[in-house]
Amino acid sequence: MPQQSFSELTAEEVLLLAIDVERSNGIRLRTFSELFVDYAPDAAKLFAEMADEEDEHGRLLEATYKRRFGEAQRTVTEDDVQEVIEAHDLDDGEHLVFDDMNLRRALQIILKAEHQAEAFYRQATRAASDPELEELFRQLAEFEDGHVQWIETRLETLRESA
Amino acid sequence: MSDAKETQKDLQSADRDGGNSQGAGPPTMSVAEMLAAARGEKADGQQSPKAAQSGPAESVATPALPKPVADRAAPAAAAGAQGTWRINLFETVPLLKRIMKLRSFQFLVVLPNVLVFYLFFAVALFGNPMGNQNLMIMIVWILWWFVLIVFLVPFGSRVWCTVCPLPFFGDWIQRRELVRVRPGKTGALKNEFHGGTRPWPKKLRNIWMQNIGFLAMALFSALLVTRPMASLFVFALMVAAATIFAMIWRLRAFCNYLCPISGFLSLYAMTATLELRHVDGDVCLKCKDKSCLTGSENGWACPWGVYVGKLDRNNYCGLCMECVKSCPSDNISLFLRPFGTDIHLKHYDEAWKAFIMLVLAMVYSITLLGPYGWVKDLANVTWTGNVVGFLLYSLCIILACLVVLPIFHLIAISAGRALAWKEKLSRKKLFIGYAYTLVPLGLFAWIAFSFPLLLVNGSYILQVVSDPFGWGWDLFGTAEVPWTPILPDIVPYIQTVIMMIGLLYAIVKGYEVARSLYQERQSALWSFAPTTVYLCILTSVFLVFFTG
Ligand code: SF4
Ligand code: SF4
Ligand code: SF4
Repeated sequence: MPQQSFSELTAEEVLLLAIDVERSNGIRLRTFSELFVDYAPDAAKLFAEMADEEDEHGRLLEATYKRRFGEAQRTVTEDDVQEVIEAHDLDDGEHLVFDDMNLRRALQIILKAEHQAEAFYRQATRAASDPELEELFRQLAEFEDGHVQWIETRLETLRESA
Repeated sequence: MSDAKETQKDLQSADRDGGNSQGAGPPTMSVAEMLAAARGEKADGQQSPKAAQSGPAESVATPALPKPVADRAAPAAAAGAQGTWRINLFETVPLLKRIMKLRSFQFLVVLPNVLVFYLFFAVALFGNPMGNQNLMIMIVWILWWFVLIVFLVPFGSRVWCTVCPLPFFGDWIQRRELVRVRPGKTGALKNEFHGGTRPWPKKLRNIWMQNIGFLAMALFSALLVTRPMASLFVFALMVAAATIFAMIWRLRAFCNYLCPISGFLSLYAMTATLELRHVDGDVCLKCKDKSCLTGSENGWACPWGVYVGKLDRNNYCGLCMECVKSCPSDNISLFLRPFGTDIHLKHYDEAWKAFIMLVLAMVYSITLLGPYGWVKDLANVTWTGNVVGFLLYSLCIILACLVVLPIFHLIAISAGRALAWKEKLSRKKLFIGYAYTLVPLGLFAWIAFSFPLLLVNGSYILQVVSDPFGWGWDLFGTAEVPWTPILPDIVPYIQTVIMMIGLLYAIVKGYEVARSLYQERQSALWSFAPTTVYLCILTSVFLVFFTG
């Protein structure tokens, strides 16, 4: 499928895309966890926890999809749309060369992606012309907000303990 | 996790209820624009230097220019990370890409080098013990050094590492392959690795050992360039270390943390007009497996542990081209760019590397080229037997590298900090940031040192290639070429011009660093002014030695 703009997707397609986004983030975060397990174990643990969380959200969205649209007959992946919705990524090309990954940095990395996703869905909610889509975007924004709150709480705890 | 779990429940119930619409206001941005704004990134997907410096938490809130994603794939000539031009070489010269993608590429370029390297070992063992009559000394310390400093590093970044014979056996042990790639799983890496799989110790994940290694080698430079056996010993030690490291620790621990040549290359590769980078930042964001870092069935995991998706400087990319093969999206390329594009040092060890390299350029110039016979005598401990003199000479160099120059630097940046009092920045930030100015200056100082080295000794090279072992051969009819220094009278002028270019770059690039650190132009100017003065003084000292 040629790349489409997010704004051209139907509610069903948005949900399929959201499922793929969660699954993909699970894979990315698990990779990060494995990469840092040897020398930043607390960051690795966080990445692993978040990977489980993303998987869980993926399953939840799948259930939502099933209730609304029945069994999924196709997929819409991140690669099918032009935009990047939520992609956890490292923030430096040399993390593995130097010893500069730690729990705080891992939390900040995750927070950045969650913030972006939330901001995106909130903007999309305002931009949506179709009420069904608007509601779905709102739900997804809430979904990401849950993550943001959780990460911010952990960062705050970390700051206090420091 | 309770908040997140609550949200999940909300989603389920909201889904069941049909939910309430909370949307408000007309759309003012396209979806692509919203995403770009939400990401706070530059249009090409790379963070601006300021964003990169400010750290992840700050960059979350940084708004940026929105741009449709479709436009973001870098065209053949596009803006680079610092907003400068760059040319995508794989797009401009498709043959180059095809060659780099060949699985056998690195093996084919390393193999001849391995053979020549071990021929040098034989020459050192069985050839003429006089440095200027020995092929190894002449080729390695005169020709190779010249080519490395004057051409390979400024124009090819770490391209020497692409062809370097030192890690050959180590790589072979870890991969058990010379050409093919083994898919599999070794920790997070998606290749089957053998040999050492331990992580390099956390405390040593820096380049202090490299700094010390280079400094130690430099102290014995007079010995290395005059005694083939001493050079043989050092190179054999390096091969052994690279191999043993590969048997204990994963990937290229030797290259990353110990190799003294790497110290030189990693610092000055920042100035190079060549870079390996991702093409489209969004493709990297969406990439699930990060194969450039972790490897795939088409390429080995990055031997240097570098993640191309966020690579923003040349320092630790050994240009092995594995990532070009392993990237599933064909999203990596070589780019041509202006000189001195990477302008950010990140750690104290890198700042000290810049100090060490600059001082050593001066020391080499004085010891190996200067008219000061007594300095040569102090350095040549094996000829003179003056151990106390040598220790004194070594102590002076160590102090100059590790203490004196850093103190001058500290004074300059502290003065600048005081002058730019309106915008207070941490001393650490300025110290490391402005240490970059010594990178272009240091590189040009090395170039200025290398020119006379070749011009004066070039004729020896012609002699030794015809008679590599000093056994009276005359393979190319040049064995009897008399020693002919080329243009000795104009060498100081050449060196002066080179140093002035270095100074110019140091000032221009230093000001760029200042602008990336300070919001206000005025503050940047004031802050950088004392460093400019100190750069001029340093250059003058070099000129005194070169022309005196
Ligand atoms: S880092 Fe040193 S040993 Fe490794 S490839 Fe480069 S020059 Fe050779
Ligand atoms: S494998 Fe390619 S697309 Fe993926 S992160 Fe690396 S460079 Fe980017
Ligand atoms: S980034 Fe690519 S070219 Fe550079 S060292 Fe790693 S795998 Fe090799």
